[in-house]
Parts: sequence; C-alpha cells; structure tokens
Amino acid sequence: MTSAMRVLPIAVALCAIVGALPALAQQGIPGIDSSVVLRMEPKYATPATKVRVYLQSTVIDVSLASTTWRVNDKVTAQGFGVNSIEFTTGSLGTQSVITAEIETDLAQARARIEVAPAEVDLLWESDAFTPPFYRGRSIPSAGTSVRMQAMPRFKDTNGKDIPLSNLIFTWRRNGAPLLSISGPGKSGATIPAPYLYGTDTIEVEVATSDYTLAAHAIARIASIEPRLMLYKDHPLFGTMYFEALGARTTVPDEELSFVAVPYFADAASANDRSLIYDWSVNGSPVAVNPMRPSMITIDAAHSTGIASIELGLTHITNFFLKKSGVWIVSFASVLESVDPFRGTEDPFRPVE
Amino acid sequence: MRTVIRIMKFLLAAIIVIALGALGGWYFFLKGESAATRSIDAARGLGVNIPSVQNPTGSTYTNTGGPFTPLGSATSAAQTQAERAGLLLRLANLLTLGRWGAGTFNIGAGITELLPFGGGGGNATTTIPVSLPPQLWRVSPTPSAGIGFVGGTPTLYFAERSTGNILSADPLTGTVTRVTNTLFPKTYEALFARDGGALLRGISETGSITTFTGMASTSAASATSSVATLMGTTFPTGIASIAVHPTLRSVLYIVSDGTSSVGVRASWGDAERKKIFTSRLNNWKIHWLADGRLILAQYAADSVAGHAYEIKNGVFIPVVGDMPGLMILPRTQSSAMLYSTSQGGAVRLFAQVSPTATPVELPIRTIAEKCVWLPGAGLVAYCAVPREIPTRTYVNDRFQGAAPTSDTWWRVDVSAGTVEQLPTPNDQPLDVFSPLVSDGGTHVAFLNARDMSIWVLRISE
Repeated sequence: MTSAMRVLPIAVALCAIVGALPALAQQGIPGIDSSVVLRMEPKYATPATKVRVYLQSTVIDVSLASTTWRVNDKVTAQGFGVNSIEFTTGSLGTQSVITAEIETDLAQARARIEVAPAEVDLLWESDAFTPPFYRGRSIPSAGTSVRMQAMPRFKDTNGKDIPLSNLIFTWRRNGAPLLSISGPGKSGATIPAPYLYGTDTIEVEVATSDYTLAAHAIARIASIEPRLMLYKDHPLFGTMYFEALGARTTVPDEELSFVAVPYFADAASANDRSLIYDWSVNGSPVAVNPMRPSMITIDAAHSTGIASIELGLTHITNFFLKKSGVWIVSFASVLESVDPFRGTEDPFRPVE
Repeated sequence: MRTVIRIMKFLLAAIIVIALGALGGWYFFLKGESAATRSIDAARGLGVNIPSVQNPTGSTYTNTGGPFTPLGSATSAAQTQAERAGLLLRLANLLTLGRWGAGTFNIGAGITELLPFGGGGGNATTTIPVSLPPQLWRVSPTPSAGIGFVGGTPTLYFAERSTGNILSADPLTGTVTRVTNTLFPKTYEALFARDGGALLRGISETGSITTFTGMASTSAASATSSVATLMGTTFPTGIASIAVHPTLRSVLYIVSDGTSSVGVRASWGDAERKKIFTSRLNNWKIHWLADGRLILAQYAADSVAGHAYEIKNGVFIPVVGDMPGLMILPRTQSSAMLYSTSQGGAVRLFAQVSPTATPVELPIRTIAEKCVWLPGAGLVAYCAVPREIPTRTYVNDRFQGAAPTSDTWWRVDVSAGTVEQLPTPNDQPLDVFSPLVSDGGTHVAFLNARDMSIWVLRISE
C-alpha cells in the first residue's frame, strides 16, 4: 500500500467533518483540499488594519509544504514553510480575496478566504442620576441600568450602507449570550448595571445573515459607588454646582441653604421619594422638608458659628446604596460677632 | 425769707441747668443712635433705589460685585479722581460747569455722584469712563450663566446668573452696559447667537430644565431708557443638551422620551423643527460649527471610552473614538481637531490636522474643553493648562465642581508643533471654563469655574 493510499481514508473522513470549502480539486487525492483552511487573526477585520492569515491543515504538514499566497490574484508570498501572511485590509465596502496553494510530494490543495472589513462601536451610558446641566457621563452604580448602543458600519460591495434591519446583533454579558435582546436589527439594549464594585464585560457581535461581513465590539463596564456632594443653594444664584463644599468650608453668610447631590445614585432626581436623607447638625437630627429632602437650611445666628453637617443617604429598596458625608461649615459673619466668653453649647437652628 | 427765696432760685437754676444738660445728653444720645440706625439701614439697603436705574449696569452686577473696576493698572483714573475729590470741590465743579474745583467735569457722573442714592434716570448707553482694560480683564466678579461674542466684534454679551439680565462688555474700552432688564431668576446656562440673540436655561420648580430664546427688544422699553426687554419663546422642558449655531439664528437640541433621544434643529422661535438624528443615548455634547458641520461627542468620564461622530444626513460618521475620557475641540472650516483623554489620573492632549493624519500628543496636560481655536489660516489654538491636575479623576471631579485648578495660558501652534506659555499678569487662580475667541482673534473670553466670574484675555498686541 502506498503512502498516498494510507492517507486517503483519513483525509476523506476529515473532509466530511469540516465540510466543503471552495477549493480546487486535488489530483489524485480527491477531497484533501478541504482539509486545508485559512484562519484570520483578528477574527473580525476592520478597515485599513493589518490582519494575518494562517494556513492550517489537519492532514498536510504545512510547514513542509510549498505555499503560494495570493491577495486579489497577486502573488504576495511564496516558498516552503510560509504558513501565514500579513496584509492590510481595504476600506469599508471592499473585499480582499486571499488564496493559498500548497503543494507537497503527496498532495496539492488550495484554500480561499474573503476578507471584507466592517466596524462597530459599542457606546454606553447609565440611567443613574446626575443633576441638571451636568456635562459628564452618567456612570452606573448598583441598581441602575446601562443603556447600550451598537453603531455598526457595514457596506456592501457596491459601497451602500447595509441597513440595521439586515444585520444580526448578538449581545453577550461575561460571555453568556443575552438572547432576549439579541436578533436582527437589535442595535440597542438596556441591561442592569453590574453589582456593587462589579465589572461586566459586554460584547456585541454584528454580522450579515450570510456572515460575509462581521464585526465585534467589547466594553468593560464597572459599577461605582454613588458620590455624595454638598453645594450651597444660594438665594440669588441657585445651586452652585460649580463649587462643591470641601470637608471644611467657610461661608460669609449667617443663614444658608445647602443641597446634597447623590451623583450616580439609583434615582430619577435628588428628591426622589425612594431616597432617604438623614440629616444632622452638630449631632442633632434635623427633620427634612418632605418636598425637598435633599436640602437643608441652617440659621447660624446665636450659635457658635461652626456647623458640622452630617448626612446619611440610603434607598428604600436598593440596599447597595448607603452613603454618608460630613461637612464642617464655618459661618464667618457669626464667627466675627461671637462672644469668646460665651459657652459653646448654643445649638444651630435649622430652618424648616 | 430772703435766704429761702435765694435758695429756691439756686435750686431752680440748678434744676434748669440739670434739665438742659439732660436734654442735651438725650439729644446727643438720640443723634448717635439715629446715626447708627441710619448706617445699619443703609448697609441693609433700606431706601436704595432699584440698582438698574443707577448706572448702566445695575442689578446684582453692581449690588454684589461692586462698581466696575478693572484690576491692576487699569483702575479708572476718572473714578479715582472723583473719589478723591471732596464734596465742596465736586460741588464747585458742578456749579461752575467744570471750570473750578475738580479737574474734570462729567455731567452724568457728577450729578449722580452728589445725589444720596444715585441719579434717577437710567440710560443703557451711559458708560463708566475707564481706561483700556488690562490684558487680563475681569469683566464681572459675579457668577455668570454664560458668555458670547456678538456682532463680529470683540463685544461680549453675558447673562447674570442671578437675574438673567444681559449685559454687554466692550474689551476695547472697558465699558460695561446693560442690554436687557427682563428677569430670569437663577439662570444656569446662557448661550448667545452672533446677532445678540440670547438663549437662557434654568430649572423649574419641578426640577425640569427650562429653555428660553429671545432677542432684546427696545419697543417695550421706556422712553427714557434704552434698556431692552428680552422678548422670545419658551421651549419645551427637558431639553438635555442644546447648541446655538455660531452665525445662523438657529438652535439644535436633544430631547429624550426615556428610551431614545432625538436631535432637533429649529429656528430661534422653536419653529421649523426638523429631526436631524436619533440615538438611544442621551449624554451627547453638541459641537455645531460655523461651517455647518454637526459633531456629537459622548459626555466624558475618566477612564470611560468615548466616541465622537459627525452627523451627515442622519448618519453617524466616526470622528474619533474609543478614547478614555474623550473630549474634543473641532475646528471650523478645517478637519483639524484637538482632543484630550483622561485615564488613571493622566490627562493628555492630542492634535490631529486631518482625519488620516497621525495624532500628535502635545506637551501640555489639559483637556480640550479648555482650548479655543484661533480663526485664520494657521492652526493655532490657545489652551488653559492647569498648573497641577488635582485629582486622579479630574474630568469627573471637574464636572462636579470638586477639582478647581489654577491655569496658565499657552499658545499652541499645531502646524509647527510648538507650544508657548503666555505671560498672564494675574495672581488670582483662574480655572478656565467655556472659553471663546472673538471673530477677529483678538480676545479670548472665559468663565472662571471657581466662581463663574467673567474674564477677557487680550491676545493681540
């Protein structure tokens, strides 16, 4: 039995498993060509980027074979052991055809792959609370949701954009497919934010129905703790979002209102009814205005002029939300007139 | 008997003297108390006329910020002289129409200065005589809602945050005049069209964002004053983001229904609405350039990838993307762009002269929103650069008012790849926010994010 005859049954069996690929029939050993495949890295080609195409075979030792590589019918590489080539993809709407012809003493085979670049961006933001006129991104915290949008750029070979409805979107979260939000035309999705301090890897794969065009995007989305900030609520200027109060602040006023802003909290507004504000001033609890619980007004007259404002913030149902803050505010006009021999037991009078 | 009568006379005289003394003491006591009461009342503003009729600016611009006084060497010579001149000198100067007494005579300033609470006739065209402002001029110390150059000149319009009143500042003469007196309390954001149209934004009682566009109209103003009324249109509430076209009187805004957002272009009166784009996301910053290009950039956050797109016929065409903490500054009539990134406490600024060119990292550490492109042929930008990036999450902290910086101005020649620090004669820390450049490229106006005061930097000599 010749060596070719020994290889034949194995090649035929592998061909049945791998399936048919466009190939040139090999003389003498029918079907061996289908044992040769081309694999691309990265898996998803984007425009004007370098990709590497590898030749693989389960039957033929490609490192010992003479290989001729062609890109769009032009020979780009040739020789023994040349089992991969690198080339640069074209722009959107173009297609590159890469062929590899291998030849050994025992067999000849040809493999072909078509590379058509496509792109997709994965954009996201959270529905967590940010105050009006906040110009930064809303970042998710536990209990909030993440809105995502895939922005594919797919063109056919005529240069026309492929409509979203003709594209199949497959969403995955930490590798697991999200079937309910995947499907044709489903370019947007809303999913729960990761748990506290957690990070989710969200992937979206976009492809045409025949899979001739495919793209992929990935985003790592982390949940953060909401951030509690305190601002002056000035009678003339409104909430002074541009000047957050530090741990120690001096204000020129005798009476002033303050507003707490729970950035990235699971709430629709700062005065969301699901938020529970627990205010105290110099250790004494303060009843909040039920219509505006995020605000407190302090009248420092007849006091020491120094207020330690403490705030605890919790959520009715979201037990991950638990923040607190302490701000020491000195009321300068009161400090200037304070009697140094007077006791320091004078309480502040929060105005209700 | 005579002795008794004498004693009685002495007693009577003594009683009279004591009574007179007591009355005198009481008189001086009451006088002192009255003076104290008057001073307290004056300090509280009792009896003070409405500020808007005292001077060209009025309102909280004067109340809370005091009269206009440029910093440094530009302190008004006329003002200083008037302050130094005594009452008699000024009175003599007034009676002799300036021939005697104080060296100069200003009929507008002279009379009102002598009146107890200023003059009664408001006139928006009256100017406070000052010398040329310094290179770095603090236009207004009070918090402002926004600024805008109008009329193709360095004239700067700004809206008071407290009243929504619009005032005009001329960086060439250092004068500040009132434009409108229509009250829009607690205006949080103001944008201006080149023709002077104003867009004011605030927060309603329910917490929604309100938007109003208008033009100063003198038809409703009184005959004795050219201070105008802001007449216009109230937009639907809930507009998340809005931009004014630099030359056309048009707006482009984003409204959301909770599941998706729509970009709408409309006229100044919110007519002729046209849907420009739709998106599932809401956090978009709009860059609407004078050449008509519309570029959307995702709101930035530290270490979070951002993307920017140009919108053409409703299609999102990528400009730059997948950059952490991305902020962009596109340039009109050019494909050049500045963009910045922020990740792990590292803030980096890049320049890209064309879409296909390789971005070049600039040797200054700042965000693109602190820069302005200079008009003209060259690719020159002015950037405010923090002396120190105060936190590792600078972008987030900045938006939350928790990372004030102290900036210096730099000139960036993108074509030549050079940067040069400008000498800025000011010791006050400035955290540059929302900078704008005048059409002629002579002045850069900005807000100081520390207190939202308004500043103008003269960049041409």
